[in-house]
Amino acid sequence: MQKEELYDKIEKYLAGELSGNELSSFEQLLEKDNSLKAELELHRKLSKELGNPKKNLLNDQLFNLREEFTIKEESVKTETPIRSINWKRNLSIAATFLLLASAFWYFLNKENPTEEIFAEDPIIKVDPIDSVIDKEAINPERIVEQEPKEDPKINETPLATPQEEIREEIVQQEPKEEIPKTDPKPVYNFDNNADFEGMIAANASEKAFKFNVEIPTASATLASKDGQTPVQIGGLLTAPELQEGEQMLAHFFKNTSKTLDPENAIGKLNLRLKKEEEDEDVFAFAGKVNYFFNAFKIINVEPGLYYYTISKKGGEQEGIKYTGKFKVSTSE
Amino acid sequence: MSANQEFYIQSLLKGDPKGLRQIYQEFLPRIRKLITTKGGSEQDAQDIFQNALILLYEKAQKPGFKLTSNFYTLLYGVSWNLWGNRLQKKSFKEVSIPENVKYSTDDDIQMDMERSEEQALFWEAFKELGEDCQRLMRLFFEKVKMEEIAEKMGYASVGYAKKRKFQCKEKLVGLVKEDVRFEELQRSK
Repeated sequence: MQKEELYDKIEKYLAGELSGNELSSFEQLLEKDNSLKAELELHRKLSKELGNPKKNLLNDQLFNLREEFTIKEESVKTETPIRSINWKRNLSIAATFLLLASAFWYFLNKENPTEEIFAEDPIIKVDPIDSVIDKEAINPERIVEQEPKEDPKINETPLATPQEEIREEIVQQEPKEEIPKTDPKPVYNFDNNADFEGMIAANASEKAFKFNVEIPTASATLASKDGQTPVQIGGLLTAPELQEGEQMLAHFFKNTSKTLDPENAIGKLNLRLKKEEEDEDVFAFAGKVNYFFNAFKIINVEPGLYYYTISKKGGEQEGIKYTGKFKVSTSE
Repeated sequence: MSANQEFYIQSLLKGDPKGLRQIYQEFLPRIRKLITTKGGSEQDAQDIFQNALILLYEKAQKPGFKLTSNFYTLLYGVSWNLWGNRLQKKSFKEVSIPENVKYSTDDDIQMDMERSEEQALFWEAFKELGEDCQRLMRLFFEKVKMEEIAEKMGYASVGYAKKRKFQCKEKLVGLVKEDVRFEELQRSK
């Protein structure tokens, strides 16, 4: 069949204009000939997509805007170095990983000294372990579920027992500022910081240092007592073997912080890494090693939303390896 | 959601020039930064930004769509995933992006991404056609009758319109098939 004839047949078939012998012989051809099938499919898709008037309108504008907003100078194209990873192997590692993580969780629950300290009065409210932490962190729709509403009272997720009275008191203690009615400021700021949310979403891009932070979970609300909030950061890090004495450091930031640079941090916390000794064979590939970390600190902050970053201690210029967040709420 | 957030979605849905320009002004720099710091070029950043907007447009068109998040958060997530998907393609079978990079929503985001890449490919090929071909193909794809097309295009005969339509379509199909992404998309099916 000549190309022109072929196109004609395809178009007629798609338009439902073939009938009788013409139709049945074309259908027979289709059944035998996969490349014809592919050609038909392409024509169908082209017609559907390019024949959408609304899409036409939108695309016209987007192409024009693109033209206008493209930085014209010849930008140096940097080829992304792509690490080749054996995927099958990776999967088996992931499975082992999960096992270890759950074992770790069990270990934490059982032996964690902080749990003992607060055994009678558990003020750390940590959500049950959730293996989809990462997904949660980078799923914008999920993130949004936690997004604060306008009313600060609703945002202060009450913990075990509602603390209405106490909250009232605290609200009254706040200095009353004259604020324009149109823009009522919440007493406590639980607003997501879009840029920092972006950092959380980008966590998974850091391939060399893979953090599985179990605590705090993506949606953790930590309870503060007399203005003091115990914060615990724990999890598993898979990374190239670190030099003797190399450690990770967490920095805490207010959600209103301009940047996540260490100088803007309101506090920091050493994460001592503990190398996973067992099953070294399994993790020997690609020179990656597993480290557990679990650190604890009491910070003195007002209720609100806080972000934290993890970077190499003394190696901040290397960049942030992980970003997370938690809420601090009032409690007795 | 604030009226502002809804405004962005409405601008996409209506193809509102002012709103679309505002979206570019406000969000392109941030997405550009994301892509270029993750190994992408300006070209890549523009591709991803445009594809992400189209993907959001498609999402927003579905009945029952409700903007439950900040527009930027959504845009960022979609852009990030599109870029991750592309990196993965670049490396072919050697998977470089861990599975958990992809955020999985209720609907099949991977499918969405493949479709959006394919659609972008179609549109780019289409934009490479001459003015004349673009107008002709647009009419043809919108199922305007050949007689009417001949008249609108100012062609002397329907026969010539058909001839021209074939030439334009051959060019379009050729451009699509030539593109390396086309092969990649076929492969991933």
